[in-house]
Amino acid sequence: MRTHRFAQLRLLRGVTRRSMAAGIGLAILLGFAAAMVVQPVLLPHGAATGDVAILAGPSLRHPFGTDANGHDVLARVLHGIRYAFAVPLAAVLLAIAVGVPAGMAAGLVGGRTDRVLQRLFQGVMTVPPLLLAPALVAGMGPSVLHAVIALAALEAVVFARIMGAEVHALRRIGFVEGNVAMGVSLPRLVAVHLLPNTMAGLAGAIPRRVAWALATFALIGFLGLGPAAGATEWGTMIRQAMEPMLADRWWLGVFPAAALVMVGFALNLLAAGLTDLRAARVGQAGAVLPGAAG
Amino acid sequence: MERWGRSILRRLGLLAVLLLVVLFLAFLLPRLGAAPPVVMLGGATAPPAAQAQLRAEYALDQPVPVQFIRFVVRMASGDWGRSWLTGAAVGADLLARTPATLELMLYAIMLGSLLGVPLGVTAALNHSRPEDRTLRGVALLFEAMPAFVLALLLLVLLFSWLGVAPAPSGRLSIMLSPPPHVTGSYFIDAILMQDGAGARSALSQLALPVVCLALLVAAALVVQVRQAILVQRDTGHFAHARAQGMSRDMLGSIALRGAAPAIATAIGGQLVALFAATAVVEYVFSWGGIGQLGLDSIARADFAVVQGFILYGALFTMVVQVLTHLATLGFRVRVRRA
Repeated sequence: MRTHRFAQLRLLRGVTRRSMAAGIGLAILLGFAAAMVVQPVLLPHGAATGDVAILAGPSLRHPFGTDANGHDVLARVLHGIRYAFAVPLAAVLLAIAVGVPAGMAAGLVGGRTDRVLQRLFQGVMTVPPLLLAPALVAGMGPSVLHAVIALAALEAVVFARIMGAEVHALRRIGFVEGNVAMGVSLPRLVAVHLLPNTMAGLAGAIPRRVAWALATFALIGFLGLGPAAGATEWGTMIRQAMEPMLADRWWLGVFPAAALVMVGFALNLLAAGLTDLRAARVGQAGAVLPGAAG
Repeated sequence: MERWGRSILRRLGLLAVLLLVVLFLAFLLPRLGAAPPVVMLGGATAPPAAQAQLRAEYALDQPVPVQFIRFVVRMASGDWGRSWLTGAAVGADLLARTPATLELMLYAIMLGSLLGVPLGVTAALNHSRPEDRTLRGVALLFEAMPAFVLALLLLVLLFSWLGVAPAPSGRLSIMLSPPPHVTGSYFIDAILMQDGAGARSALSQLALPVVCLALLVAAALVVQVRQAILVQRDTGHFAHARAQGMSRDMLGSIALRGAAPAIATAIGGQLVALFAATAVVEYVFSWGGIGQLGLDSIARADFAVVQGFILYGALFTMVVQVLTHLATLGFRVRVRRA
């Protein structure tokens, strides 16, 4: 019983022990998650601060200063963690739910269907995705939900391409034909043979895709296409701080920017750590690091 | 040579297919539901007569497939339409703004490569040592910075606090007037006109956006070049050279030669990524190039311009990818001859 209950914890500890980068990345993310949970209790955001400190610089009372409404910037930055976690995660999960089956099906069917789909994906990726995402949001109308849909659509293409490549790699070594020849049914082939063998390639890509969604969502907010003005989403906060932060009110923009960079950095560390771990297991000197998409 | 010809033909066919997909995406954008196209064009309060006129003018009364074919034909014939807000011709506007953007991108890719490639080689040759860990850590930190965040942080530091950088007010101090158009680069044109003040101002306006973009390029290149060199370390000829007791510098140059195609591909990839990053940096610095126009138009839902911008970005990507491919082919020919 005990081993069972703590199995996941052990796995985490194992990852942390073998890769310092992944460990630090996880620790930062857990720290932000904890801050997200305690923020409503310790530092309710949006409440007037009680004193008349409007646009006050950082002080002991308000470590990140206050904004034009006299609200505590630290509380607002911490409240924004929910956007930074929820939107990229939702987009990536949605993208996996759509992209993985699509890529798997294309890879299995093969032939002309596969070629047409690959060209379609390649065509979509020809447009810089960092610019296509806000353009899609503008087309649907500015909102957080539309941002999630736009990000998920572009990420789904990435996951479908990864999945297609993994299935092709397995086909090339006769993996699919072998199983079919042994009379393995299609659902069993997919669930028992293909998914576990493509999982590693897929899982390794996830932290990087989440990091991309985070940065792109921040840009969408920065362009004014995310949540309504006044929201605690970091890109939106930075947009509204753009003028004042260059005129001596730096704390309005620098702190949300720092938070954004910290979470992105943690995700990058996690991604690098996972790649190293996988490479160590495969026995190569490091593995292929996919370039940032846009 | 014949094989090359066939491969070029096949690639051209592929590019045409990709362009069709991009055109379809561009066609889709104003039809995704923010508002009916007629309302986007004429506003929600346009009288029915004006709406009918707009429908006829933009062929919105035709079936959607017909609209798409008309769109493809129009774009292919070089008529990229007019801005819904300013009425400016999109194609001419994009073309006129190209030098401003190209200038940023070219300086950034050069500076970024000069910084990123040697640092990536250093990291790889010191694999797993403190130098490698530090370089990789710093690269991952910069990779985590969205372009607008890095641009604003640099501005706060160098403009607001230290006062060494000029205000983000475009390509030239607001006190000066642009030099006559020769190349389109204010810096080069001012030098050609022997306009010292103009050249100095253009250079100081260029400095911060170029450094910002170059840092982003360098961060990505450190990781990719390091990887390309590490792969070389596992090859037979590298092990042979090491067994012969060659010096560290010699080993480095052997690895670098083998990694050249991969590094060229990485730089090409960064040039592609620069299109989007430059747009964002232009937006922050009011640069006035195609990127700022594109992002402004996205934020204002001016889809005639957005469509042109998207197509422009896709064409740029394709050109860079073809050039990168040719460059790596060149490397491979040299390897084959050797």
